[in-house]
Amino acid sequence: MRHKFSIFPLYKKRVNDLISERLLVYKAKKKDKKAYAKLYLKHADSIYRYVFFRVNRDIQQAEDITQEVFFRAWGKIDSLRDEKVNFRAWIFRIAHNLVIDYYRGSKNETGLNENIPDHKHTEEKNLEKLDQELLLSAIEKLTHEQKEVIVMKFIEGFSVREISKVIKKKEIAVRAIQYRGLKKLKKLLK
Amino acid sequence: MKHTSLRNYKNIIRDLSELRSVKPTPAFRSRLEQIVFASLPQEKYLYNKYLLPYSFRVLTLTFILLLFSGLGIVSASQNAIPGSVLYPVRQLVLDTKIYFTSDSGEKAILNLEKSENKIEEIKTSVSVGNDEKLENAINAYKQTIDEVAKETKSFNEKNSETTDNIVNSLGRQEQTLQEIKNIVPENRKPAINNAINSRDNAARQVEEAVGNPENNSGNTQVKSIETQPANPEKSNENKLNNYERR
Repeated sequence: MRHKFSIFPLYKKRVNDLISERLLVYKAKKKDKKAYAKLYLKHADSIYRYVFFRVNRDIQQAEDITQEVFFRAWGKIDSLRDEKVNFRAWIFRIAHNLVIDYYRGSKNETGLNENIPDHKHTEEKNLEKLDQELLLSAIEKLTHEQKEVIVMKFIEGFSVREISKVIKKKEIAVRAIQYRGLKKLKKLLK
Repeated sequence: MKHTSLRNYKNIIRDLSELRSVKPTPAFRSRLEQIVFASLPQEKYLYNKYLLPYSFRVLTLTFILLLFSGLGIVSASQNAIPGSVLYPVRQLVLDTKIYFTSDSGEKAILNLEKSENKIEEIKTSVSVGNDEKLENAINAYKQTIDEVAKETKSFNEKNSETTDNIVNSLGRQEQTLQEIKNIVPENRKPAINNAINSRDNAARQVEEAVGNPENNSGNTQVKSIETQPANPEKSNENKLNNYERR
């Protein structure tokens, strides 16, 4: 049964969010720390999650990289040409680059990492469901690109267009990666 | 098979969305907020926080733009003719001036200007053949010209220049109305005659009020200088000469 709903409140909320974010970005560009802190509060969890899944649930690495993301973003915020640029996509681009640097540094080029460090169990305690654990293990077995697209699309709720801006690929390529990622997950979860 | 496959994908996507529950530890968050943010390099503010805030600047700029736009429109409307977009602005400006003027002389002149605008409207209505507009314009003209006459009642010797202007203008209006009367069809002539009658009444009232020598029943004190001879002595001498000739 289809539920009736009004799109106007959703649209209004989206517009309000957009305006307030642009204002925060404008102020942050003027080196207003409070405004930047608000932006951080808004995106910190997403960035952490994105990095967490990309570094195979290594908490220490995820924290380090997240910290570095916000440090670097503060330094580079002047490079945002105007407030119309999607701040979320921009900061995720920074996170993406840092994760790539991490892979290059650790020579961990493939995502097929079967070795799960011990300190991950702390985080795993929060994930009680076995199927969730299986899913997480399956995500780790995806390629970097597939992992990135799957995490951004289905966990962080990015659109294909936003993902294409972050990873600098065409939308059709993003869709193809998404499809292959889901297919592989399905195969791994059987 | 296809439905099973789709359900599997849906389940996977649903499970993925549940992973949003993964969050950084509170310890990490507080460390990031307290230590990292405190140590973020602070560059020189590009604007002084004691200067006007952004919203105030935007409002001020908007107000200035609106003010100059308004002044521009008012200025442009001064030459607007009946039928143009800015003509109502011109009328509004004139009505505002009349409303705020307390001096009777100035009020009379402004009303006179308004009456001339109404004559322009009459001309335009006649040219396009709009009877309703013609009637409205004539009624408005009558009202305005009555206002002119009313203001002149309180005139005195100081308003002689104003009076001259009014008289001259009324004379021109009479000519214009007569010209209009000559070109309109027969069925519209009564309406124009009404306008002419109003003008004549107003002219008569003005003349009565200021004592125009053309109107013998009026007060002759103000312009009595015109009825007196230029040189009384010469006049007396002439009389004497005429008497001697007899």
